[in-house]
Amino acid sequence: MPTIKLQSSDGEIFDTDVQIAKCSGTIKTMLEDLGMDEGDDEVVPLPNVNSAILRKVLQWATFHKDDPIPVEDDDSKEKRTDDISSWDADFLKVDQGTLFELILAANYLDIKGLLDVTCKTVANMIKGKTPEEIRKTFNIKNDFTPAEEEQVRKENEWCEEK
Amino acid sequence: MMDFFIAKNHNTPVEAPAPEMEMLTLPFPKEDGEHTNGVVETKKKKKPKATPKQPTPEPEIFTGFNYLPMELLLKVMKQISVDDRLACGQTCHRWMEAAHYYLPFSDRIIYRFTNVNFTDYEPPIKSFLGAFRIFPRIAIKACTFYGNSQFWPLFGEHVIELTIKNCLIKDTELLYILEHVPNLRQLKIEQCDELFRSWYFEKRQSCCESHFVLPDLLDVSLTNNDFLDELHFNKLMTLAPNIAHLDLSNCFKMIASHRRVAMVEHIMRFINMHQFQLHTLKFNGTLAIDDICLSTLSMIEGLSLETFSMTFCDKIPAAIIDLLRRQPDLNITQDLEWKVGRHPIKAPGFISFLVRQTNLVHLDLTSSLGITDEVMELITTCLPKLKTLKLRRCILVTDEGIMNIVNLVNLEVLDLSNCYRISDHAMYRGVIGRKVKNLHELYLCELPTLSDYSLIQVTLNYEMLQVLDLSNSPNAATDATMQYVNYYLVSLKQLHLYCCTKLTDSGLTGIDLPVKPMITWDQEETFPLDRLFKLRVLNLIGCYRITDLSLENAFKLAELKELHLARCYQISEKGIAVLSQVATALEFIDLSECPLVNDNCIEMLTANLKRLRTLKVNKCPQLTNACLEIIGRNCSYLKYLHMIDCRRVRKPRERLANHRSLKAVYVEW
Repeated sequence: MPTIKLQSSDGEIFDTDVQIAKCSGTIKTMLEDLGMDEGDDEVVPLPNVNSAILRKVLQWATFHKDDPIPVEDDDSKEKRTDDISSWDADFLKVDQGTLFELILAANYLDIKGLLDVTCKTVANMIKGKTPEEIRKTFNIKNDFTPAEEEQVRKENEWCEEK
Repeated sequence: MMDFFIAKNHNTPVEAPAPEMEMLTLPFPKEDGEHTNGVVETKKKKKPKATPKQPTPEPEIFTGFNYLPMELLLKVMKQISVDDRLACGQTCHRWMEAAHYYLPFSDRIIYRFTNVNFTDYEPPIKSFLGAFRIFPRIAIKACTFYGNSQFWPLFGEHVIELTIKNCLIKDTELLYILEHVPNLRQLKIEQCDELFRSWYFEKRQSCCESHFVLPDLLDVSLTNNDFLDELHFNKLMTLAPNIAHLDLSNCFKMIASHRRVAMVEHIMRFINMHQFQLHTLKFNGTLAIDDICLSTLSMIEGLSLETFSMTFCDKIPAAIIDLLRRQPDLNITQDLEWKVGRHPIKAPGFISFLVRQTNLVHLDLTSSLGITDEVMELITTCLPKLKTLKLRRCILVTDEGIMNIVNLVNLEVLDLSNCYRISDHAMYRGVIGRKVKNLHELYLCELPTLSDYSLIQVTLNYEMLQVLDLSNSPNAATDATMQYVNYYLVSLKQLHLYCCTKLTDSGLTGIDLPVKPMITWDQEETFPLDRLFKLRVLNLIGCYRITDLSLENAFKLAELKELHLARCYQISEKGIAVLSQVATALEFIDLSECPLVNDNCIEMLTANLKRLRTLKVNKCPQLTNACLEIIGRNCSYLKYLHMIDCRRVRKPRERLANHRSLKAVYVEW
């Protein structure tokens, strides 16, 4: 199996199967554009992903390496969010910080499947919650002044779905 | 990415609180002109993909989801409902911007003011003057206007849709508002009798003069206005020189017939002068739209409508029908006459009109007694582009008339409610079929002959359905059909089963079905209602065989907003306990006339359903005064409470008078 070396932001090197690494659109383009050949000892630096997250990402990619390439979906259609596979659901039972980092990493590395499933997880966590509960769930800092918060709340009272 | 919007650099924390105080007094001080004119600033998509700017990220310190890049935040928010988005918008500034300023999101939000005084000195308008967001869509209903509000100069620039319904408003106040909404695209002035009754013009010509116009105003609706006259009409049309859609449904009902005829004539002249720009005409229930009018319409060169609606009740002469049947290719023109005996008969205006308007896309003929099978034949052959066809209460339509509906391949909305002469067999042969690929809404109410067999065919052929209404068609909605609905119609957003009394728990849950209708290979499978994960509105009023079993096993519906369970007599505490845990997005629940509903049910509902806005518990004899205390303690969003004929509850209106969010308590019919 040909492998390549990926370097996380904190300097750790991951020897990775090329096929798995190519789940990432970013790495795939990088390899093609730079004409890196397999067997080259060059290291691919990934300055935006730390080792803990990269390990998780590679774990996900290994499990999903045989998945069909997801089609470009059109935004107008509503998607269902309750179709997360049980493996993914278990995989994403992580703290908020990790989930957040995973979304950023999936976006940076351009791994559509992982990005979809992480965003779905976040969406599911939002559903049916009050603003206060959402803040607590996602550790969102309330940057409204009390007056602003009251203002937003009052305005929302008159706001409805069309 | 035209609609993508980044208000400011989202990867840096918002500015210090000091300048934010200004935001409370001015609408948009902080954007620095980034989104003027209500048009959202576009920004090139960042390549490579956006990540937190260097050197900000120190992944060890988790800053919270505040700083999720906007692109990703929008991706998340695309997957949740409007109400979830509104809740998100209350958490922090960036999430608020995402929820309100991204166009596809803000398009689905409307601000509704109902039953308030529209004045700067009273809430809610008083507090809205300090708002720091925009209000593109506003609906004002049953409000009284007191003078010119500062709201319009402050926020009018961003208003694109405005509805004023059943309001006490003076003509000067209306013109003041219109003057301050330069970008308005849609205007509805409905049921405003006082406005038109008191609106005088000094000189006749002054109605055609104005120092401003609304160039973007394409859509004007003036429905349910009795006192609208030529001068009012001229004035409003002067303001809307580019009008394309005109709705005059249910107007001039109470005025003398000669006035009515004069008014309709005036409107026909107007249509004649604007024939190239008008796409929509709606005259539902407006009297005096007679054969002469329709003949006039059919003769207007260049008029090519997309949407038309009216109530057509004239009888089409038998001789003409006969001729049409014998010569279907006949070119019907106004000059064509038939000799029947000694009397020449002209082609009825309605027929000439339909034959000319071959570009019609939406046709609404609700309550038209003049629609017979022959007219239906004409519709299905002459109007191949139809997407909407509404024939509710066209009771003269019989089997033959609907035989060709299935050939209208573009159909998206079909309403055949109350056409009770249609047999089940014809429905199956003429309406249901694979040719129609995009049917979204299907209304089949009050059709007692409709069988479950036809309904199963519906589920097999129209898997795109979003709205299905089977109210009062109890023979169609059986347990077997429910299993098919649960399995195939996963796009459903609204399901109306009002008084479908054959339904039982088995159909909804799939538990204990006597005959399992769905067999794949050798596996018998059953499906619970909550397979329909997109369901928003569910109406089960009067389905009295439904018990707690259904609530316990089939209601895990994360997006359900509206649930009607009135007269489901067997529902009790046990079912409510589960319901309040699993359907947390509920905003409207009706449990009227459910005799087993008690205070504890109210406790569970109000404690768990944080979004609850309307609670209806009319005629629930077990409720006591204690439930008022529970409501007062638990409900922070509740707006409307219906408590009519709850004998053991004393003076609910008085006792809840100080409730923060409550707008109305209904205690009598």
